[in-house]
Amino acid sequence: VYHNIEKYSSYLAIALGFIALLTAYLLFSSVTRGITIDTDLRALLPEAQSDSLEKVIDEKFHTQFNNKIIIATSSPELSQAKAAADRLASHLESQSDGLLRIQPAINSELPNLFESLKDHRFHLLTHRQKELISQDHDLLIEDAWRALFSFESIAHTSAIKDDPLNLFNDYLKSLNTVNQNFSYSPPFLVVEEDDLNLVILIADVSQNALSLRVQEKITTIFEEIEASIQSDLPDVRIIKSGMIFHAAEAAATAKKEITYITIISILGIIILYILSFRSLMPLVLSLLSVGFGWLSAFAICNYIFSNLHIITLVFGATLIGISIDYSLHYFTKLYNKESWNHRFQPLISIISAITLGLTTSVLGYGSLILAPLPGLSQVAVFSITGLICSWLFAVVVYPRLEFKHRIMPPQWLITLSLLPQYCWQCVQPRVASMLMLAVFLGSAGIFLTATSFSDNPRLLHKPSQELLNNDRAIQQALKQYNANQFIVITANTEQKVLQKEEAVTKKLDLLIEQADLGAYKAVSQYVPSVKEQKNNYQLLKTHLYHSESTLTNYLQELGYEQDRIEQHLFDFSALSNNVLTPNNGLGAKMDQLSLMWLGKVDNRYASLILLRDINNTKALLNITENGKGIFLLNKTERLQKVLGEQQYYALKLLVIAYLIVMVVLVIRYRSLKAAGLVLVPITSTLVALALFGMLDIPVTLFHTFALFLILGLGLDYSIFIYESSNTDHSANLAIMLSAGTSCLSFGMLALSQTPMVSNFGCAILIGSLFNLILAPFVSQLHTKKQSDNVSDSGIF
Amino acid sequence: MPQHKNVLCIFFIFILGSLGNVIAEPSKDNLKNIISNKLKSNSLVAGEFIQEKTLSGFPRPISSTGQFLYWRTHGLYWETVKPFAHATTFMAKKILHWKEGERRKVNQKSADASQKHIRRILLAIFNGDLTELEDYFDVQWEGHDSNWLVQLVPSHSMVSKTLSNIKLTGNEYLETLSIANTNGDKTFISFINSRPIEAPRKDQCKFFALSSNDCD
Repeated sequence: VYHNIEKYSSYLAIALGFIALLTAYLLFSSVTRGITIDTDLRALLPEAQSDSLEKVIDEKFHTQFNNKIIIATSSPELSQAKAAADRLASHLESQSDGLLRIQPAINSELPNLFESLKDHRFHLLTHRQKELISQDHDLLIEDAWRALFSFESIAHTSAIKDDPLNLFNDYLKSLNTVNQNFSYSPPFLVVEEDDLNLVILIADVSQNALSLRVQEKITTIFEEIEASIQSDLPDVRIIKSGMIFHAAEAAATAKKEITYITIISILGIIILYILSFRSLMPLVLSLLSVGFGWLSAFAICNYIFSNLHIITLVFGATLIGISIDYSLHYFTKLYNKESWNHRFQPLISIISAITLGLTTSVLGYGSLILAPLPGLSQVAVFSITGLICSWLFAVVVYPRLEFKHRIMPPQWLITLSLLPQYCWQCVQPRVASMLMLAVFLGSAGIFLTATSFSDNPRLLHKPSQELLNNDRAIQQALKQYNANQFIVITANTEQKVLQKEEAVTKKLDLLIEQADLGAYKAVSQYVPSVKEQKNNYQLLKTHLYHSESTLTNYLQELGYEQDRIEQHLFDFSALSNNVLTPNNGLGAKMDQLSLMWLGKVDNRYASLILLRDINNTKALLNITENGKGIFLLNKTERLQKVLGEQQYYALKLLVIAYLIVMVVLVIRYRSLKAAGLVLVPITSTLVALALFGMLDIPVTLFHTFALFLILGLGLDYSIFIYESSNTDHSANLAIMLSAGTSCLSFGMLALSQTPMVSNFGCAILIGSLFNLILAPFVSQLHTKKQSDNVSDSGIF
Repeated sequence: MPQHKNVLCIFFIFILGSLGNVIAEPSKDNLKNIISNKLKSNSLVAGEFIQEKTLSGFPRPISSTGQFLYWRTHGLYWETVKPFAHATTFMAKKILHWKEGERRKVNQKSADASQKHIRRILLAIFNGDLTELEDYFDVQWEGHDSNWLVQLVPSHSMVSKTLSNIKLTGNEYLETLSIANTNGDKTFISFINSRPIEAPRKDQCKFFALSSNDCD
C-alpha cells in the first residue's frame, strides 16, 4: 500500500513542481507587463450580448467617457480660478510623462458649424422661425432690424447679404445654446454660476485607466498640485470627476482591506497554531501552503483573464480561511500520536476527508463558473485553483518532512473543541434531531416571511460622498446630459429615424414647458430629416422668397439694389436641393453627434436622444412606443434587472450544487443517510438568511454567492465529524481551528467599506459560526462509526 | 543779425515745442495705465450714441440712435430709440433684453457662448479692464491722455472668426468705438454728451434688475 502511495505522491510532486515553475514564470511576466485591476461593478455582469444595440451604446459611452477627466477650479474671482487652472494644467502635463493630455479649450480641428451648414441654410429653421414665417412677418422683420443693430451682431459670421433676415445666425445660435453652457476666457473654458466662476479643464488619460500604476501616478500628481494650490490660493476649490477616480478609490479601499484582512487572519492563525502545536514548523508550512495556493491562483487567473477584478482579489484573500484547513487537519492528526508506523500514515488517515472536502468546495465554486457573470467566473477559477494548489502542497510536502519533538495539543484546547459535540451528546438522539428540525423550520419560517431580496445596484457599490459631490458639481456646471437614461429611436432607414426623432422632440418640448424635463439633445436638431428640410425650404419659398414679398420690401428698405435682390433670390433657387444628411454634413465629424448617432446596427438604423433633469419618468414613458422603435433606455434599471436575474440564477445553481453534493456523498458513503450531511450547511444558510430578515437587511446577489461558501465549509466540517471516531478528537480540534480562522478572515470582510464585500463577509461569518455549532449533529447519522483508517481505501 | 535772431528764436521755439511734445507723450505702459484709470474712474456715466453700420454689399450705411447708462458695479444699459425701440442690459453674469417696457431675461441657460463673449468684451471696454482685453486681443496704445486710441486685433481663433479689429478713441470718456467684422461689415459708434451722474433715476433701477430701494 505504502509503495503505491509513494508512487502516486511522486506524480503529484511532479505536478506541484510544474505548477510552481509556471506560477513563477507567470508572476514574473505579469509584473514586468504591469498588473491591471478592474474595479467597475459592471464588469461582473454579463455583456448585453442579446441586444447588439445596447452593446453599441455601451461602447460609445465607454470610449467617450472612461479615459476622460474633467477638472474645475472654482472661485468667486475669475482671475484666481484661472491662475489655479493654469498651474494645474502645466503641472499635470509636465509631471505625468505623457499620461495626461489637457485638451485645448477650443478644438480647431472641429468643423466650423457655419462653414459646414452654410450651403444648407435655406433648409434649416428653428420652430419659432417657422411660426413667424407663416404667421407674423412684422415680428420677423422687427427681429431682423434688432439683430442688425444689436451688439450681438458683431459676432455674426454670415454676411447680411447671405442672411438678410438673420435666420441662419439665429439657427446657429439655437444649436450653440443646446450645445454649450460655457464661454471662452482665453485660454480656458469658463462656466459662470451665480457667485462662482468655474474654469474647466478636460484631460485625456493616454493609458489604461484601470492600470493600478496609472491610477497611483495620477492620484499622486493631483495630490501634490492640489496641496500646493490650496496653500497659495485658499479660495480656490478643485473639483475633479472621472471614472479613473472611482477606480482609484475602489482599488485603494480594496488594497487597504486586503492588507488588513490578510494581516489579521495571519495573526489569528499564528496565535491559534502556537496555542495548538507550540512549534513554529506547522505554522511556517501552513503559511507556505496558503501562500502557494494564493500566488498560483493569482498568476493563473491573471494569465487567463486579461483584467483581474478587484472583487476576485478581495474574495481571494478569504481563501486563507479555507486552504488552511488541509494543513490544520494534517497537523492535528500528526500531533495526535507520539509515533506513526509510516511517514504517510497521518496523510492516509485524512486524505479521504480532505479530498472530499476539496471536491465539494470545487463543486460549490464550480457552479459559480456556470453563472454567466465574467467577474464571478474569475472568483470561481481563482478559488478553485487556490484550493487545489494548497491541497497539493499539503499532500506532497508534509509527508516528506520529519517532525521531531512533537508535543500534544493542550487538553483545554481539545476540551474546548469538543464543546459543541458534548452539547449535542447531552441530549437524546431523538431530541437532538427535534432540535435540529426546530432550528431548520424556525429559520426557514422567518426566512420565508421576513427576508427580502434586493437587486438595487446601489446596495452593492457605494463611492465616497466626496466623489459623488464632485461628479454632481461637474454635471451641474457643465449641464451634462444623463449618461444612464435616454430615448433610443430605431427604424429601417436613416430618414425614418430622423422623422421619428422630430415627432418625439415635439412631445419633449411640451414636457420641458411642463417642467417634466430640463432639456434634450437630438441629432435631428442638427440634421433635420430631408422631409422637414424640404418643408422648411418650401415655407421660405411660399412666404418670403418671391418678388413683392416681405423680404424683398425689407431688402429695398435696407438699400438693396434690384439686381442684388434678384441675385439673392437666385442663390435661394440654386440651393434648392442642398439638403443635409447625417453623413454628408457635420454628422460624422462632430464628437457630440457621433455619441447620439448610432448609425446602422444589425438591420436597422438608430439614434439616441440625450436628456437632462428628468423630473417625471412616467411622462417620458408615455411618449415612448416600444413596438414602434421608440423606447426609454434606463441603464440603471437594466443593471438592476440583470442583477435580479443573476440572483435568481444563483439561487437555482445553489440548489443544483446541493443536489450534486448529495449525490456525491451517497455514492462515496454508499448510504442514503450520508446525504443528510448537507443538513448542516443548509440549516446554517437558513439561519443566516433568517437573521438578515430579522435585522431588515435585504439579501443581495453577493449574500447569495456567500451561500456557496457556507455549503463548502459546512460540508467540510460535517465530513470530518462523520469520518472521525469517538476516540480521535483531532478532527474536532481541526474543525474548531478551521472555523476560528474562517471567522477571522470572513469576519474582517464583513467590516469592508465596499458593500458587496461586506455582504459576502457577513453571510459567511454567520454561516461559518453555525456550521461549527451544528456540525456535531451529523454524528447522529451514524449507525456504525467509521474506524480511524477508514480512508485506507481512499483515493490512493 | 536781427534776422539771425529771428531764425534762432524760431529754431528754439521749434525745439522746445518738439521737446514739449516728447515730454507730454507718455510711455506705452504709462498710457495704458492712464486710459485704464480714466475709464475706471467713471463709476456712473450717462450719454447718447449714434451707431452707423456699413454692411458688406450695401451702398449706403444705416444708422441708429439711442442712449446708454454705464454703471461700473452693475453693467451697461444700452437703449436703441430709432429706428425702433429696444434695449439690452449687459451685466457681469447675465444679459437682460427689454422691449417696450417688458423685460425678457436671457440668462445662463439660454445665452450662447458668443453672447457671453460679447458681454465680457463690451464690459471690459467700458470698465477699462485692459488686462481682460489682452486675453482676447493684441492691444496697441497710441496718443496721449487727452486724445488716445486703442486698437484691438484678435489673438484667438474663437474671436478672429468674426472680428477683424476694434478701435477705441477717447478723452475723459470713451468717444468712439469702431468694429470691423470678417464678413466685411463695419460698425461705428459715436458717444455723445457722456457725463458723470450721481445716481440712476428710480425708474432706471429696474434696468439693472434692482428694485428702486436697492438702487441707492
